[in-house]
Amino acid sequence: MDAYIAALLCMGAAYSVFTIGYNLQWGYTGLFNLSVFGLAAAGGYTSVILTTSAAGGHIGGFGLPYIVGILAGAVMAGIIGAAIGTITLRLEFGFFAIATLGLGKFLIAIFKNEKGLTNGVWGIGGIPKPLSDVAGGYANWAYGGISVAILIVVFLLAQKLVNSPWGRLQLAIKDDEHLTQMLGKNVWRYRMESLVLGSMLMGLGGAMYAHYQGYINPKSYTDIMWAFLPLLMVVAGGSGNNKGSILGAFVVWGAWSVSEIFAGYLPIASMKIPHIRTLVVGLLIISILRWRPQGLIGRKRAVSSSTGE
Amino acid sequence: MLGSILDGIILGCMITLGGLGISYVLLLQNYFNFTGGTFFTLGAYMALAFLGFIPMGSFPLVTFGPGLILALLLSMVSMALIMTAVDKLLYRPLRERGSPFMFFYLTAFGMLFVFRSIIYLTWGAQLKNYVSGIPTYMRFAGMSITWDEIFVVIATIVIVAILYYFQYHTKLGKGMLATANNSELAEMSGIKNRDINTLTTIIAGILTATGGVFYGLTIQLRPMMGFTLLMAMFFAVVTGGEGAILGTFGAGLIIGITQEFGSSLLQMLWDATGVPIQMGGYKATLSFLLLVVILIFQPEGIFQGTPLEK
Repeated sequence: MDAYIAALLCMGAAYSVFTIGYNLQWGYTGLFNLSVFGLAAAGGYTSVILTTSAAGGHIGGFGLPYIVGILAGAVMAGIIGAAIGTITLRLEFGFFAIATLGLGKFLIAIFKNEKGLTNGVWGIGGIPKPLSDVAGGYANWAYGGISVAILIVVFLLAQKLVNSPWGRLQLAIKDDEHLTQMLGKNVWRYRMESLVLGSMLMGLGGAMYAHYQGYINPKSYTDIMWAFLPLLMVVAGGSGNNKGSILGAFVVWGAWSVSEIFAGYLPIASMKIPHIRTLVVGLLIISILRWRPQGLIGRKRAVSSSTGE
Repeated sequence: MLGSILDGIILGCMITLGGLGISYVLLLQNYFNFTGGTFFTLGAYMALAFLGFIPMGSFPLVTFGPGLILALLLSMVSMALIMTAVDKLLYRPLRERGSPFMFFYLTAFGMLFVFRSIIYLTWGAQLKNYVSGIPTYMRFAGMSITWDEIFVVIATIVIVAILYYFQYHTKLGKGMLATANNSELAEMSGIKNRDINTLTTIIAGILTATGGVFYGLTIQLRPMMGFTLLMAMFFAVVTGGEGAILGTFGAGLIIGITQEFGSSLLQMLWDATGVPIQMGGYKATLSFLLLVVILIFQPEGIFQGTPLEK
């Protein structure tokens, strides 16, 4: 039970950071960015390559400290986000979604095929977990503490950001793009800023996850785990609400991991269990969208309450 | 080398059929159906399920028999039913509530994984085939093509021709275009929007199922087959222009050939210049890179023009 709570803290915090970034793009600015799993992988791989000690077959062996690694991961994801934005931000809503989905798949294809960079499908192991030599048997608790501390910093910054004029403008863009444009605001620039900041948080989340797991390969960052499950976290918490995202991340991850434990008692072939879980998550997302679009704790329309719905 | 052009044409036929399914949904309901690729897979597996009850029989030359044709028809019917049910249950309330675009996309994205997990749960992850026979090859000019593949190409051309006739030369097809162009005006002139929406979904279901079965017949059935083709289908839709049948067919063939022929061409180029890139892993992403280039320079698609102008 203790071990389970420590694991929940580590994973919940990593997913919360990721989901806040996701929510910034999807919930606040209304960017349907589907390259998110690629961005998480970019953050994870960058941090892992920088912090692991030397290993044959791929670049690495820098052995830098944890904090440098995850920050570099965030910066790398931000740079990739900016590149993606440069290519895709002028596109219409649907085209943007398609182009970013393709870019996400392209990123994963790079991580899978460029063995000199990432060791391909064999992945990279021996990822250091900070404080694990000091904490001994409580390594996961120590890492959970670090993760939650990072989450608190990220949350406070994100709250400050979305409650600033900048955040209100993002909501205005989502609610009525043309009106915002008529007010003389550079919509493209605001979207780009949201895209880059959100991508950095996703990279950070992906990196925190990698250091918790200790081993990653391209399959660690599938679209199910890093685009589909976070969607439930955002939608369940209520899109456009950072507290909701954190709540969603912990509740959904908690339920997801508990279901793994209970699934062992069910008379079902173990091969089928991941698919049953995916099915349940999908049905939940669709039911929430259909019957309770505002989620558990939603957000009232902040700017133009007269338009839309 | 030249054989990969033939492979590309065959792949292009399936991309076209799947792409047209997505295209019709886009034309009438204004969202890119992310579930399209997964419906494609489901269509293929549906036919496999029906083949469990139907004796295959045999035709000359090709490996399959009349059983497969019957299974294909049944799969068309069931995909039309499934897609109509999904549309009525999930998308129609969104449409009538005037929900933001985001909701359509989120729902389609969610359905993708719902159906993917259903496919995995029902049929498992292993590769499957409709028939185990060895196909007869036809050889000419150093290339070889199986009779199954010839059947697929001819059948696709026939289907595209029927669809073309339906859309531009029948009252119902023209009503469909009118609704896509201006739904309020069409409603006033006595065309029921709801009926047209249902009709479009049914056509999309039929086309998607056919594409899936053809893929299963010439390549293999596997749970991710539609999803890996999704980018190529989107390419066909965007480049071909929404609802433009011949445009989508052309774009589908282009992308099919690019994936097969283009990747081996690039591989030769990399090998010659000593760039250490193995194209095998990037085959499917090639279509997407081409799509991005086109979206940047021609966001309206290549074969432009609203379908009514034809």
